[in-house]
Formats: sequence, C-alpha cells, structure tokens
Amino acid sequence: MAKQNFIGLVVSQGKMSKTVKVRVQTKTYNKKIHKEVLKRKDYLVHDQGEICREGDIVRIESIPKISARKYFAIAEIKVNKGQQFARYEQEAKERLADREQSILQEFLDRKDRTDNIIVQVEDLRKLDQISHNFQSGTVTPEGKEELIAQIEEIKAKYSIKSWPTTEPVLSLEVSETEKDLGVIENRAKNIKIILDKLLNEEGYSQERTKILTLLSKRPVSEIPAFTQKNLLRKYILNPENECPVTL
Amino acid sequence: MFKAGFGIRGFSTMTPLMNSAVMLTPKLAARQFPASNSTRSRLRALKRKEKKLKKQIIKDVNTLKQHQETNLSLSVDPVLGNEKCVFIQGMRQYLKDTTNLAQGFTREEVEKLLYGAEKASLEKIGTNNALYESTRALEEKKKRAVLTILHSRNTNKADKKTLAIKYAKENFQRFDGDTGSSEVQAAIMTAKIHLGMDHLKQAFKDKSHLARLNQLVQQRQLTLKYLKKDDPERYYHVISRLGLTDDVIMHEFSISYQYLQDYKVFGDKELVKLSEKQRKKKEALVALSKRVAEYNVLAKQNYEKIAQLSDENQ
Repeated sequence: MAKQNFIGLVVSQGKMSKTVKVRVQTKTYNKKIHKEVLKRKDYLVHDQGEICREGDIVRIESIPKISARKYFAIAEIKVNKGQQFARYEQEAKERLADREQSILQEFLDRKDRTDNIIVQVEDLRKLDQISHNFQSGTVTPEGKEELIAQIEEIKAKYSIKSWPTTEPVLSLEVSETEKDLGVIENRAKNIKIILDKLLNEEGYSQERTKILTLLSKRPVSEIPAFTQKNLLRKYILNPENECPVTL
Repeated sequence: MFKAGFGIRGFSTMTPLMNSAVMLTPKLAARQFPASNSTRSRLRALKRKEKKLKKQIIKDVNTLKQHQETNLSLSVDPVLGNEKCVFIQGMRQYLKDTTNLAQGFTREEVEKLLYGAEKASLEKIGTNNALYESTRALEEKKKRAVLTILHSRNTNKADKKTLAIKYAKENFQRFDGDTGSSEVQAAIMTAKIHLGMDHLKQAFKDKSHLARLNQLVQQRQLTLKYLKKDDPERYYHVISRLGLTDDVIMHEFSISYQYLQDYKVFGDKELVKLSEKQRKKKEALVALSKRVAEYNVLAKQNYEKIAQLSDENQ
C-alpha cells in the first residue's frame, strides 16, 4: 500500500530543530449541513536538512513515529516560495548598503552645485563692479594692471569671451523650458508635413525603422500604419528627441 | 556516592565531570557543592535540594520561553520602522537643507534670477556714478529679504510635506515622472506618517489626526501586501529601504493606546489601565523573568567553579 501523503503549507520553521509545522487543508463532508467544508490540520513534520522555509508548499509522507507528535517527513518541496523570499530578504540587505553610499553622494553633489553657482554669481558681480570702475574712470594707472589680471582670471574660469556680453552666462530653468516650448510649438505646427515625409518618403525609411524599433517591441513590418503614425508623433513631439526631418 | 578523592561528581550526573564537557545551561544553577567532611545525611539532604531546584528551574525557563514564543514582539516599530533608516534620515536632512527654499524654489535658481534683476536695474540707470552704489546696496538688501522669506526655517508644514513627498518620489520612482507605482505610494505614505508622528507628539489631543495617521499606516500595509504578491523581490528591497520588516507588514496592526504606551510616544505616560487580575499577571511575569536571569548568573558562577575544581584535581 502506498504511504499516506499530503500536500501542505509550511507555517512555522526555525523554532524546533529539524522540525517544521505543515498545514494541510482537506475537504470533509459535514452531515449536519449536507455540504463539503474545508478542514485544516497542522502536522509536525521531520525536515532532516532544514531546508524548508515559511511559505513553502511541500508534499509530506508518513514515516514510522519518531516522537510523540512526529510521524511525517518532508518528501519534496513543490513550490519554494518561502526559500525565495528568504533569499530576496538577504539580497535586499546587501543592496541597501550600496544604496546608502549613493544617497550620501547625491546629497553632497547637490550642495556642491549650489555652492558653485553662488560663487559664480559673486564673481560675475565682481566683474560688473570692475568694469563699472573702468568706465567711470576712477582707476589709477597703477591699479589698472592688477584689475585687468583679475578680469582675465574670471573670464578664463567661466570661458567668457567679452564683458559685458550679450550671450547668456547663467542657464535658467525657465529659459530651458521656454526653449523646449518653442521647439514643441514649431514641430506641432508642421507635424503633418513631418509625418508625411517620414512615413512616405524613401529617404527617411532608415530613420523610421530606427525610431519604431526603439519604441515598439514588435517587428516594424507587423506594426499597423496608424500605430506607426502615433508612435512617430509621440517621438517627434518630445523636445528631448531630435527631429529627423529638417524643416 | 560523593568521594572527594575520586573526582568531582555532581549528584545529578553519574559520570565524572572531568571527562565530560559541562554545558553552560540554567540547570547548573541548582548544583550544590557539599564540603568534603559533610555527613551522610547532609549529603542526602543536599541531593534532594538539588533535584527539587533543578525541577523548578526547568519549569520556570520553559514557562518563560513559551510565553515569549506565543507573545512574539514585532522586530521594529510598526509605524516608524527602524530608527537608523537611511531614507528617513535623508528626508529629514533634505527638509533642513538650505539649498531648498519655500514654495518649491531652489537656491540656485533664486540666486541666478536675483542677479538678472540686479543687472536689469543697473542697466536702467546707465553710467550714473551717484546712483550706482545705492542701487547695488538696494538690490543686496532685496536679495537678503527674499532669501529670508524663502528660507526653509520660515516655511509652513504644508510646504515641508510637499518637499518630503517630492523627495520620496525622486528616491523610489521606477522611471522619471513615476508617481503611482506601489513603492512610490508606500514611500510617500511613510514620509507623511513620519511628519504626522512629529505633530502627534506635540498635540496629543488631536484625535482626528491620530485616526488619519492610523488610516495611513493601514493603507501602507495594504499597498505593500499587494506588492509582495505582485513582485516579491522588489517588495523586500522596498521594505528594507523604508526601514520596515516583513512581520510588521503582514501582522494585523492599528495605532492603539497600547501601541502609544509601549513605544513611549508621549513619554512614560500611562495610557492603558490594567485590571487587578491583569496587573497581578504582569507582575508574576516580571518576577519570572527576573528569576530566570538570576538562574543564568548563578549557573555561570557554578560553571566557573566546576571548571576550577576540575583543574585543581588534574
């Protein structure tokens, strides 16, 4: 006769040596309500290698009784979810250590960046003061050479060609977004022409396939025409991407 | 039975102690060391005493063990998590950081803008020497005023909360602009919970706030439980970064007065009154754990004594 065996869930591990608690769920017929109901029973099961973890689904097999409550042993592990979780937990701890370092680095970088900007603004202000002094003619001939040296130093530091200059010396977040907005508006205005050229002209076929393979998982030949058009439109209207069609 | 010349023998172990390695267990606390000239009746009395004591020790240790196993305490604070959590420490630092200004401004941008404003007003006056210095001084004054108004020290709580949420998003997003993934949701809720607990410590009568906080904690549990089902690897990574543990998420929990008392949210204030019966039970448990601690100390002393005696015999 085959040995009695069940399939159950490991609910407790690590509290007793070489023993786990396995919950087995069975259906029994209840005579009073004439219906099958679920019944649970917990078994203490022998685990020689101590490999089971809480959450594993295992098959247990009956063995000769080895202690007061132990008469089953682990036959096989069907789903090793508990072991997986234990591994993930261990890995997460290791990954956390790396992450801590990078967070500290980010914080320091941000501080450095701000400090640099403050220094730069101060330097530019100094440059303004010096150039004003020159123009107003309050500089003595002896002090002139020293001031020129200072100006040259600041100019070299921020690679400024001439002062006062018409070029932007500090990049503002506002001006960046303004530039992006200009690009988007321009492309949106001419979107029909751009899409028409990209989809139909032979010269752009290479660029078209390049963009479509980047955006879609399917091979290009299988993508329907309207989807291709939508994908291309999305790509072009993103100001970070370069428009392949010159207007 | 006890022969001084033959070797040291305990009453309980029939083998000479010299040969067998004695294990350091609480049971050793029961060991008696009769004098070499003790009478036969005295020896018998001591033997009986040792037997009785040993029985008591085993019983006490097992009772305490069973209690500890059935009343498993959570490994970290279920609301605030681990104290040494890097994410929370980072968030606190970020809120204090002077590079962040109020209302979403950053120091960098404000510096640049104010420089531009100064340039513009200087251009307006042209090469007028008299006005130049005074304009510069005025602009400097304006700059100081703006930076004072926008300083993180002078912001309100809502502003700080917005900043904290921004920090949480940046740290946990799967891609740029991700605001809805489970980890971002959990991180935002964690940030809110930490700020909320700060408020609760100051305003312990704010009951509706306590209720909202409770909701948040449970919502976080729910979100993380879903993540465990959906992507366990990511789940473990996220909870370790938030300073939480698996048992905290999977156990049923709500912020109760018992919790507030246990984790000393309002200091040593007594929030839950015990009945006479409960108090006695608790006292008995404290006495038991004290007794077990004493057994351990005594066992260690006896262990050293045995080792010393066996050395002398050799």
